[in-house]
Amino acid sequence: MAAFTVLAAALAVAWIEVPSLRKRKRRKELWVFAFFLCVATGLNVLKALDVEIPNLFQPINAVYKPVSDLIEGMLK
Amino acid sequence: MDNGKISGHQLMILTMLFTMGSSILVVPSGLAGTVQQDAWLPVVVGIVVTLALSWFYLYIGSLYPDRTLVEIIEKLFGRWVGAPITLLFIVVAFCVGSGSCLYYLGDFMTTQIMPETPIQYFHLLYILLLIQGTRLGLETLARSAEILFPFFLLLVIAFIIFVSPQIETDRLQPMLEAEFKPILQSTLSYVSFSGFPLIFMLMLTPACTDRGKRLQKKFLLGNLIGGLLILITTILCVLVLGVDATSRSMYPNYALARKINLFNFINRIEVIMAIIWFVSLFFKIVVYFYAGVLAMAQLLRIENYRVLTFPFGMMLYVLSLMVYPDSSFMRHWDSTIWVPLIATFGLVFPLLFVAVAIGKKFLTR
Amino acid sequence: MRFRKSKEPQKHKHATDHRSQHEHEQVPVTQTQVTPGLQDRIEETAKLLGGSTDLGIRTFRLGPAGELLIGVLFLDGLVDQARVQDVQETLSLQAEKEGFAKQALKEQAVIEWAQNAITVGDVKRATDLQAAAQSLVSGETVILFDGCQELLSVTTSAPEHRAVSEPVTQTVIRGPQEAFTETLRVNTSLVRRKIKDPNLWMETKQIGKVTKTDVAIMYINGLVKESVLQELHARMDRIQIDGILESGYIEELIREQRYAVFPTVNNTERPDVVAAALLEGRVAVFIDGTPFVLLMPTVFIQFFQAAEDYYHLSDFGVLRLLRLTSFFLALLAPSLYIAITTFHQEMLPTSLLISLAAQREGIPFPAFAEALMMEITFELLREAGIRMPRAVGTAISIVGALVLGQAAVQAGLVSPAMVIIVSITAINSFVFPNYAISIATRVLRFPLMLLAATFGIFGIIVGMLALLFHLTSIRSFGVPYLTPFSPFVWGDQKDALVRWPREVRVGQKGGKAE
Repeated sequence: MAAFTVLAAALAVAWIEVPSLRKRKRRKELWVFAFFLCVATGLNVLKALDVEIPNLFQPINAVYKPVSDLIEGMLK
Repeated sequence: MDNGKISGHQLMILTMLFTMGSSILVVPSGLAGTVQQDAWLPVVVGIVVTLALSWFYLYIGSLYPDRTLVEIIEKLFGRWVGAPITLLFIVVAFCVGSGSCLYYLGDFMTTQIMPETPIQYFHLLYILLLIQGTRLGLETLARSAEILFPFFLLLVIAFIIFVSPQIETDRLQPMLEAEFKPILQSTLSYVSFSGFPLIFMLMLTPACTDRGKRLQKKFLLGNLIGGLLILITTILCVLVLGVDATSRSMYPNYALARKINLFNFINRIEVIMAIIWFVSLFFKIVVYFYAGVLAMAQLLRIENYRVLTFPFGMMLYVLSLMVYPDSSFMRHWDSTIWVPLIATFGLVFPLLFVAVAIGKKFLTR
Repeated sequence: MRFRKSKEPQKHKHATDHRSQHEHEQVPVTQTQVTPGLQDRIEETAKLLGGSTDLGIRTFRLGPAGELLIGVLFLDGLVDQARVQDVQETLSLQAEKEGFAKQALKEQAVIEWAQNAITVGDVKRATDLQAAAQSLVSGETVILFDGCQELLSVTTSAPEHRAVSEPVTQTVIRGPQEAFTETLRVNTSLVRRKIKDPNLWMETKQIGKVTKTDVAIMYINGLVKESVLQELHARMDRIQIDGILESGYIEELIREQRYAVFPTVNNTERPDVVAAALLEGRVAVFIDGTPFVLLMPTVFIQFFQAAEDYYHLSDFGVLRLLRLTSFFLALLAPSLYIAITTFHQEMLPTSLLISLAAQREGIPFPAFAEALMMEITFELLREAGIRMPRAVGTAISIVGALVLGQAAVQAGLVSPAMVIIVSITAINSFVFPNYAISIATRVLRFPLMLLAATFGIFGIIVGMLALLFHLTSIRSFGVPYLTPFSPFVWGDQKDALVRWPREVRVGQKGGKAE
């Protein structure tokens, strides 16, 4: 159900954006828009279906953990 | 790009709101936790550091006037080396910056004001507003901020006046007890919320009609006002709530607003006071969001960033619900990872930019 | 041949009215006497009007010997009969006095002679019968000459019009008590009488493919911003529409934004307001057939500036703050009630909370449904009050008072507090000096109520922010809608939120009282 809501929202967004882009013949913007809309819709559908999405913060966490520990050590 | 122009005054207000943004909600609690009643001291130091940082950022901006951060990066590193750096900046502005700020809002709403409403709905509503504002353009946002400014100040002043009867001055005593290292740590924490993110304002400054010294003055002034407001709230938190309650509460400001009681008539108006944080948080998110979307548009060389607003808004919805699995992770992240992360983008990269710029100048000579 | 029928009464009329000394020259010409050339052209003109029965046709001979045959055409009811007769009389008098020399009957000479002879109204020359038909429907009298391609059209119009009366929608206690009427010329003259300056310029256009409505653009040269004027012309020229029946048509067609909730063009029925706007460098657009004149560019705060603010002492100008407050109350009163009673009860003082809770105890609906119900009822009553014949209006108000005020409360359907809220909303929405802005509050009130019902105060804040973004983004002819607040203009602040006292310069050297 939630996934369909997402798809409906994506369609609505496309309906708002695409006609004016097509009218103005902005091919590049149209492609960029389509790409990001697909990504966004995909993310939202996954989220709606309760699929585990890897948290972006985990890799950042991994990268910065040593730095953070270092700072912490210095300030302790 | 048809983003319109903003005046120096408007830039000042935006800077002020961006400086306050999320910090005003979370900073007092963290500071009271580390340096107790001296919580005001790191803020003062932090304001000075932030002002220096702002000056530094504006210096970078002045290397290539009329160019946004993305364009500066491209100028300095070329298209191919510049693109990954820009992408990193976009990830931080968009995913980390606006995502985490949005989570603050949702968390604040669900834990403090309306516990029965699911957090998603707040995020959805705010994102819709965000998309509307961003699509209407920077000029609209800046002018709206300009209109809100008097009301905003009025609310803040009312807040201060209403809370002041509850002040107990001895709560600040004994003064200057904190040691050097905790103060340094708290200062760093303050700067990571209010100082380093200002680098993203470089996406906005080219749209300002003021240049050079005037721009600098407005930018620093906005910064200073924002900092002072944080300072005042921090001091008030300690003075009214005491160190313990401040550090233990998640959103000490809100706890402070609950304390308001004038003549037994004006009381429990914390929801009205929360407007201050709604507004400043909104503008912080919108600046992050705008900076991220504009950066992406400039990176991909598309003329109108507006086509990106809806897809990015949809992504932000997922991200904002995902970035912090829970409040405890949020605290952990804010106090440990966030500081070095934003310092990389607010300090290391800018230093690199300046080094490359100077190097280039040297080579061409 | 329909036109022949209409000819009869005209002839008769002429015969009875006009027993003057030159009667014998104007031999009533029967159809057979009309030369085929003139006859054809008269018929063709009548055909262009579809043989409409209000077309009056007279043909008669001029000159001592009846040398010149002419045809006079006009639309009965649009023309002033006396003026038409005047035209005929002058022509025959002149013709009799001068007579026609042989060469005077040549094409050019006849037209020029007639043009000089007619002393009534504005005389135009044309050759096209299509143009003749157009002149006829604008109330002009067309004169055709036998053996002559060209024709004359003389303005003889006497349109029906209402006398200048008191304003109905924008009343004042102190100030001029005159309002525009439906006649363009009367309206423009009302303004001209107020601004006696040759720099008050006026341009006229005809808009509407079918109605060909006269539209006058008035401004003060030197004060008006050229860019606004050009933009207005450009937008008006772009209009493609069959008919303009009211200024609202034009207003909607020249707006910048298609979906702006707030009016970006002001309208007024008061000549003094138009004069004041012109003096501020604005442009006024008069549309024939309506007393409502459009003013542009228009910004938000103007909808709160009553004409009277300037006629009383400046203390009165403070009332603008009251009107602004009303704006927010009319917009937000039900939403705030919903938000507070549903989500933020702690904001109310305890005693008030208890009494509210007691009132709401027996109410079967949530606050939102209660408010929605009552607001819709109120809007219905209001609408009914406008649409109903005047005589039934009182009945509506009785029903309204009973339904809203008493029965609903006694039946336990709504709480008394809700009735108060609806009344507050209602009163506040009647405060604005201009009706246009209250439409916006009526439209926006309902989404805000929904936001309040779902998100409490936070929802209202989000709604108001969205509204603010909308307001800052719209423009009226290039002028941002929230000028002078954003962009902030210091000089305009003395006539924004309040009207500042005028500077008194009496007694100063070389100064004069303003």
